[in-house]
Amino acid sequence: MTILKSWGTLTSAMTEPSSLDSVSRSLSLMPDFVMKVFQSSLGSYMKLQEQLLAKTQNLGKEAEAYRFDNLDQDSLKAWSDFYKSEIRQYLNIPQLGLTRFYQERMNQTIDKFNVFSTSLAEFMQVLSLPFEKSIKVMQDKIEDLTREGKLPEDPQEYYRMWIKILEGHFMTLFKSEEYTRAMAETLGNLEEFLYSRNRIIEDSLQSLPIPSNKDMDDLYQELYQIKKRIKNLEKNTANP
Amino acid sequence: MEKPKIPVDTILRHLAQDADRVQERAQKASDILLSPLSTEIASTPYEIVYQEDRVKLKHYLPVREPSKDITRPLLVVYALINRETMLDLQPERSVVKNFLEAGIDLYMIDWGYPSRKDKFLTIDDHVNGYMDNIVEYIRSKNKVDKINLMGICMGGTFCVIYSALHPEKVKNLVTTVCPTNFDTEEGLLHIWMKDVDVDRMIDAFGNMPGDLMNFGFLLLNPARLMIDKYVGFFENMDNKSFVENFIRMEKWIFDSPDVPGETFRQFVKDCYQKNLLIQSKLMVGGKRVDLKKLTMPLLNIYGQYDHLVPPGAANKITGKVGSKDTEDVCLDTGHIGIYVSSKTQREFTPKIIQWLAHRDADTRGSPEKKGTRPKKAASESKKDDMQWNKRIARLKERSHAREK
Repeated sequence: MTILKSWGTLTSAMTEPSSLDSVSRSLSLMPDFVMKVFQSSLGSYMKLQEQLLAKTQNLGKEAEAYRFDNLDQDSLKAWSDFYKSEIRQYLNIPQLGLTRFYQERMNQTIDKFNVFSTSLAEFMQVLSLPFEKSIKVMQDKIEDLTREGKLPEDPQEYYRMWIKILEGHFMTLFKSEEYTRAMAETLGNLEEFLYSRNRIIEDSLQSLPIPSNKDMDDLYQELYQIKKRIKNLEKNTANP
Repeated sequence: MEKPKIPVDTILRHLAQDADRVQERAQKASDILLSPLSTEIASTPYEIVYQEDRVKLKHYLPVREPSKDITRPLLVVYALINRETMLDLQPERSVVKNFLEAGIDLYMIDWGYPSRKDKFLTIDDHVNGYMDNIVEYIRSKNKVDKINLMGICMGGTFCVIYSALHPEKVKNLVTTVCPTNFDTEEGLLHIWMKDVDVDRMIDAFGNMPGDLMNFGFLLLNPARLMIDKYVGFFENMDNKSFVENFIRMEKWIFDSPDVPGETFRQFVKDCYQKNLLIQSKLMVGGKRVDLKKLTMPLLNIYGQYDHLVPPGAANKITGKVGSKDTEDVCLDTGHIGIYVSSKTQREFTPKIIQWLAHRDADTRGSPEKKGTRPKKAASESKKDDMQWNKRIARLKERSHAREK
């Protein structure tokens, strides 16, 4: 009934001469309106394309800043910097609506995973340096021994020489600040990724009849405190 | 000048000989690996006499009549990292067996495998909770006022804390490869731990994963522990006894329980990062761990080449405690070698047995003045020394015979 009444009111209003005049004028403006909307959308789209292209070109710019005498190391660093300055921000775009928190946590996990993967690659690269260097030193040593005519005849002697050199390089590396920093950073990024991953697992467990780690931790903490209180009470009762 | 000569022919000849040997070795190795191997560890018989949550108390069955010189029971406290089975890795190199052969009434704590439910347990819960309850149990079962205590690595740190907080319950304290001074640049672990964000680590993992710690230990010397060790294995795969012992060691090394989160957090923050223990500033269970209250005799044994607990981390404690009867012993070995190498087997346990015997005899159950060593007549002490030297000689002979 209410709908019919509203429809009736609208029809009578539209039959008024002023309303009819307004409608006919708006029809004549329609092509202009469509044209404006189209132009505006196209302009925004082209601008977005332009920005994306500009950001993609930054990859080259980032890389140019580094020396490429050590290609592997620098390319990792270039990728890490490019990710942090150009890609990461898209994962940090504020989310809207009912699911905003879940989406935000999902984006954060993707971001943490990317950061961890990059630092792990850097860490592995640092760990591979002693191998590279030990081979170089070994080559020099063999050259020296050849010159002196003291090359060992036993092939195992070469292995023993190499492992000793490798051990020395590892020890030097492990005492360096560079290694400690890389290790702490990788471990830290792993922990941040695990923390974020656990949060999205907890989100997904909410809809399932399964307790999450957080639920269990709360329970364990209560159990721990209760047990401690009981043990203290028992001790105090036994030795008043 | 004569041109340098590369002995390619000799090297190739050696390689060819090696190839023959490798083939022969591979054949023998496959026979060995496919045959039944004796790789059991911790085979000395024991019974579980006490259990609280995951923590168990092992009591080893005696193999001879009780010692007249060491009458008090000895409680061995292992670290929370790895397992106490290391003290009984193989019958020929078993610290446990050596103690039993000396007639010692031996107890050992098995910390078990902490689960997520244990993540809130602190150092206080381990020391003033589990350890104290176990000491109470042993004191009451054996009707003694004090027991002998021996700690290994982190277990040694727990023993130091316990002895300072409960000196009335400990007759003699033996610490072995025990970290007490953490402000040292000698070991990589000490350098690395200073930069670790332990809060973030425990928030992410809950408990400290044993596998992650093991990976860290392997990284202390990857050339030896991840390459050379296995090259050595391949070179000796045709030696059954070598293979069996190697597998025993692998079983022990990679059997790594997680460390309860809160305990690990406090250990890293208060010990590795703030070095509070050696300064008598560590707080456990609301009480300050004052090392001056550690007044019982203290024997401190450490390894010259220990890469986990270097001498600088282990040898400061004797100068900081209240006891006047202290002794440092530095053995020519590493962190694990101190317990498993055949060379130190001939020095390590005999030294502890002799040291305990001198301090434990004739004092069973009688309270002793703080900081004083039981006095003996010179002739009696000399007789004791001779008797013990004979016993140690017998142990050495047996050890030599086994090796042969």
